[in-house]
Amino acid sequence: MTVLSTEEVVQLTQEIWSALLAPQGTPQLELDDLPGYEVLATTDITGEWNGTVCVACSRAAARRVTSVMFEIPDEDLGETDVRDAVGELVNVVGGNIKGLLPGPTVLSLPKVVEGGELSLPPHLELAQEVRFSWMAEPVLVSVWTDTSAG
Amino acid sequence: MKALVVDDSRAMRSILGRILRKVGAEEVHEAGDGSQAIARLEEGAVPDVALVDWNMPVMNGLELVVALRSKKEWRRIAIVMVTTESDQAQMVRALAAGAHEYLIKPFDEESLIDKLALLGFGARQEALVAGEAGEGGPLS
Repeated sequence: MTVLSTEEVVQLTQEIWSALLAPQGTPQLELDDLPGYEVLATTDITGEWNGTVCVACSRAAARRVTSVMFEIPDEDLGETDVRDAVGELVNVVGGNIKGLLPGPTVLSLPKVVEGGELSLPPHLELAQEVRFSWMAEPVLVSVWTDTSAG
Repeated sequence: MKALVVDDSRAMRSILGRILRKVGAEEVHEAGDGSQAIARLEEGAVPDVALVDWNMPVMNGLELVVALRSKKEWRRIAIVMVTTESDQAQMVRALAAGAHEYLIKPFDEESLIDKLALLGFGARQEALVAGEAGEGGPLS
């Protein structure tokens, strides 16, 4: 089931990047599947609609997001900083997607995983996926429906 | 002006803190959830304004707003909810509980400066000029 249009995901993603990461420009639609999704941030939506919102990106993109949000140079970033910043990014993306879905719903706290941990449970079915290129790095925003719920 | 930023994301606290300092906050305290905020207040660090996220572990933003309004010495604190929670009914709940203003993430810097100005904090024009002069953070 399509819960959101590609255009809606593109628009809200670009608005969020523009507000939070303004000096670095907005992500552009990318038709090719760029390699290198190394960081995965998720947040669950439960209620009238159940599913998961994901933001995946390269480690370089995650570090750039973190550097801009904290206003500190890359060499001073810690791993917890990266997880915090990318977690907040998916929280904002998820919250805005939640606002477009039938309600009432509740947004979970974000989770961030890296590297080999990248996987989603089998009961999640892809509902929307948009690939972006941001500063020549891959960024993927996807929405998954929980087929085990109701 | 003394300010308290309550958000479970350190990155968001960093962004909000920069904007608050730009509008003239002399002190910006931080808390990672509502219970940490209460602990800070009980230590005596009562701010003039609190920026409060909704979705936090341990004690969420709405519970914090209710707690802030329940104690006489905390009732003067101006509260701005800064959250991804965009549901109209939730906004009404927060405002009914005692929040003064409501700002949905993502927000631009000007929107927060406007909200603070409405509450009597900071000189909006000076803050924006400072931002244009290159003192701004990522939201400028």
